[in-house]
Amino acid sequence: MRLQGKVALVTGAANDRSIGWGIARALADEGADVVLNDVSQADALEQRAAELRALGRRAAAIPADVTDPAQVNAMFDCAVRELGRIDIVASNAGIIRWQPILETTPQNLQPVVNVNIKGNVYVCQAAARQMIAQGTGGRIIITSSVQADVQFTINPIYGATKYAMHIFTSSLALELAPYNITVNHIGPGWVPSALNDPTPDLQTAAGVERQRQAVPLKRAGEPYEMGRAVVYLAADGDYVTGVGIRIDGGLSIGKY
Amino acid sequence: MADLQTKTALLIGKSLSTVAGITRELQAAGMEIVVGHTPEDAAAAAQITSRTAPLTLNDPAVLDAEIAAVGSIDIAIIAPAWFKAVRFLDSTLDDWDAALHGNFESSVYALRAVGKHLQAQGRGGSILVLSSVAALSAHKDLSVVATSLAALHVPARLAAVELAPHGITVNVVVMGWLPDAWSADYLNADSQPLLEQATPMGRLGTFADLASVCRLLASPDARYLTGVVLSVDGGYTLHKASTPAPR
Repeated sequence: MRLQGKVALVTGAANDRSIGWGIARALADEGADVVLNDVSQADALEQRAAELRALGRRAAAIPADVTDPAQVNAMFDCAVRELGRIDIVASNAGIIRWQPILETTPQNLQPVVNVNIKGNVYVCQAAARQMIAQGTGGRIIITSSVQADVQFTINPIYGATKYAMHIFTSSLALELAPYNITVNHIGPGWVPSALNDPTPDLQTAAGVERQRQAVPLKRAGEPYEMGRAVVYLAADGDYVTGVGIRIDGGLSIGKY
Repeated sequence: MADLQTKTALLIGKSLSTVAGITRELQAAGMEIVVGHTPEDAAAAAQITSRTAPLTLNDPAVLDAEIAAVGSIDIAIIAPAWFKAVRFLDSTLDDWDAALHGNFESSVYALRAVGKHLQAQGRGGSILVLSSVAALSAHKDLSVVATSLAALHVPARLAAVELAPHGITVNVVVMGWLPDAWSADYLNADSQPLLEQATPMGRLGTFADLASVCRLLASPDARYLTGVVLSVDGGYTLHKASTPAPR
């Protein structure tokens, strides 16, 4: 239990198939107390928190929209009030809209940019300010995607927001290093979360099988496996900053 | 590259200093230039060249028609518009909105519009998206610029995939540091020697350096070259470990 006494905040964690919940469970299994966030699904979020309390952890469920800085700041205030401090932030909330680049519309582009870029900006700004005020360093882990590197033709804006998080991560790592705050990102591959339910390539059994064959390790990843990478960065990654860890079963190393 | 002399390039960008610098170089190479600009920049754009086109960069439906109305083009160059040096911890919501709109969103719509236009013309073409070394390696105080520019690389590469069957290439040209009003906030008398020192070739770039790469990528010589991110930076990105921290 290497994270005993630490408090983590995870955004996008309400759905029980989500990467956010996988991260929260992995952190809790190492002893961390956890603040769970999502934009809605307050009941599900409260249920997730109850599951963590059943493990003996302190947990708080705080719904907030990460695209609204006032709500993000209120969430951090509330989290600190309830659990005392914030040591680890997994800025994980994300959305996806499939649309070819030549058909991209503001209706599709703007929500993806708002959640996947601005949401991370607001959460990371609030996280950094809280960690600096505490004066004991911190760990920020942003959820990127294999789609930052392996691009899907009908998903340019999602890929754009995830790729942008790589330079965002290293820029923050540079600025926050003097405070002993590390900033890294994880790159999940194919994970059967709700976010992937509308994925066009995964709508048929044949499509899922093609996807499975495209992964060198021949299976989808589990949300908990994404969480283990976060645990590494939070618990062991004292000297690791400004980098990304892909957890994709090898999906991104070859095309066929 | 004599065959460029009959070519027309459409330059799109709110950063008119950059557009002007490239225009001068491409005109010197014999190319016909059309400057696409926002309505409020009409007078400034007219100072650059005689052929100008007002563009509505925040509304793709309108923009598609405006680009089509420009008429025959062979090359489109999309230049980023927003630059500001600011600490991440001090960056404001307005900074992020302006950067993401000016560098990413409006460039995506420009990419979409010129892609459709070149496709409709049916004779191939070349699209260049300009970016900065700031999008490739972390620089002090440039998290906002870097994030908004890096985001653009992915749509450019995916446009390369979508437009390849039509003989249209799409590439990202990453500019090293060059004296320009666009980046004057970062590139100043204090920082210039440090940035020169961090460049293996020992000097900042020029618009001639940038334009020469644009000409290469736009020429038939580069017809099989698509979807790349090409740095024209005197080796600066090789050297990022010693990148200094101006200001």
